[in-house]
Amino acid sequence: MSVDRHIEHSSPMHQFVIGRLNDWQLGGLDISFSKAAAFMFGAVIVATLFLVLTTSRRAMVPGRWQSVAELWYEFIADMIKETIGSEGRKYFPFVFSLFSFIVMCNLLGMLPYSYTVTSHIAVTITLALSVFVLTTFIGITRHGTQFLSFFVPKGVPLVMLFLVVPIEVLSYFMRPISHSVRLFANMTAGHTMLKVFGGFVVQMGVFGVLPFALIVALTGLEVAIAVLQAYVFTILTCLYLNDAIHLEH
Amino acid sequence: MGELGGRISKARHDAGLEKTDAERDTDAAVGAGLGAAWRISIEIVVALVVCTAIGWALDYWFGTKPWLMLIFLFLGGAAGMNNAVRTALRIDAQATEALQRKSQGDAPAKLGEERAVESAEDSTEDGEGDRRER
Amino acid sequence: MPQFWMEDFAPQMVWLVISFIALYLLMARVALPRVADVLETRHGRIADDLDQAAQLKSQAETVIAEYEAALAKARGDAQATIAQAGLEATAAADKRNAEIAEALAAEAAAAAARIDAAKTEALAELRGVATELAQAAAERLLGAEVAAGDVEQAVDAAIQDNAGRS
Repeated sequence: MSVDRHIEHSSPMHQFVIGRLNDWQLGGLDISFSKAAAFMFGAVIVATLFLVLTTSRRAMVPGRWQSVAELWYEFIADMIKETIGSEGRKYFPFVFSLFSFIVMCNLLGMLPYSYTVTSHIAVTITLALSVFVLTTFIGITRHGTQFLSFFVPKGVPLVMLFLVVPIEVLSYFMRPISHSVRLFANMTAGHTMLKVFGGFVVQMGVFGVLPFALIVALTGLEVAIAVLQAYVFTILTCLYLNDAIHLEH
Repeated sequence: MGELGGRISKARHDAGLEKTDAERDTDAAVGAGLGAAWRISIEIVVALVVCTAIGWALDYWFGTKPWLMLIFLFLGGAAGMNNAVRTALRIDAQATEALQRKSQGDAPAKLGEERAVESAEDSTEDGEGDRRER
Repeated sequence: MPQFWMEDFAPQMVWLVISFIALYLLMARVALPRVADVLETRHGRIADDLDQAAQLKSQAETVIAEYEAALAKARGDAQATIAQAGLEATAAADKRNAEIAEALAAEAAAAAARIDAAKTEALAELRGVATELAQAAAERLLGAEVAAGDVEQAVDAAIQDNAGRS
């Protein structure tokens, strides 16, 4: 790369370096494979293998792992049924993939010395923008010009519309940003905090027991946040899909 | 025999074969409420920051410092509040509806509720009419 | 923050798109149909099992109902038999009572007849004795023969008189 960045290995921010493994270019586009890319494929492989292997026995009475796979499936299926309704069935594979990708990336990032794909705004904004483009596309193809009525709330006086419509439009375009920043901020904050406390453990030697206990507790909290943020990202996707399909606020 | 019948219907219910809509809705409302808490917190901040930045950039281009930034600061706050409040209201409505349906049974209760709302609106309109006449 | 190193955006986005499309295809084509299949099979199986259980329950209920009907019928039959037996016993007792009463009545009648006969005989004897006694008494008193006819007449009159008084 032309830019030569350096970051101290001991810095809590070092864990967020994407870790380029080569310098591939494709027609001016930088497609260098990195630790980040490796973890993305890791998430894909783990999610797929988990679902395929746990259902290989097709047991009538599910074992523990098969139950997890079934719960995972029904969790998303119910979420779609409840937020969108029967019309959401079409988008089940997309929503399921989205949730699985995020939750797997988040959880893989919890392993020691690993890398958290979702702690990068580049990743979360790409995911959020694909949801934004998809929902807008669905809204326009389903409702045509009627889709613009989404920005005009009912029962507002004409004079107020000059103020309300810009706010509605801004709100709509703020969606992918808040959608992506929420995930990015949560993952970054959590991992930075863990690394900072990890530094304390090393520095304090014998007295590092206290921050170590804190790290254990924080790790538990971070695992919960990893799952919760994947859930939040997914349910917001469902709500946006519902808006586009049913054209209601 | 009666006990056996009860056990069979319980097993049916546990297997999700006879889960009622109300139960599904309550589940949904709880989940959605959790999502809303996370959504609202960041919605306002993001809208404020991004809109202010847009305003600042436009000021920079047009040399209108600081007016566009102020306008966009206001718009961003409004947009953020809009997104946050809308989510809160929708989740709230969803939860209330689910709870009502759960406590009153299904469709008939909902119909009755709608009628009650309509009559309430009628009465307020009448009241306004009276005031105008006076 | 490395998250804002703009030169890292492109490679991440490229590999994200590639890996996500791969995941989508794997999920939509391979993983999800498998899980759906497992769930559907089990839901069908559970529903079947429960249907079967319900069916067996209704069968058991039918059997119980039949059993109870048979029991009720048996009880009814037994009661009818008992009632019948009671009636028969009553009838037999009545008959015996009647027979005994009849026999007793006959015996009583026979006894009465015997008594009457004895009485008549006694009376007849009494008349003879009375006549002889009266004749003897009159001859002793009068010291003369008294005609037997006169004595008989007097005795008869006395008997008549006595019977009328008593």
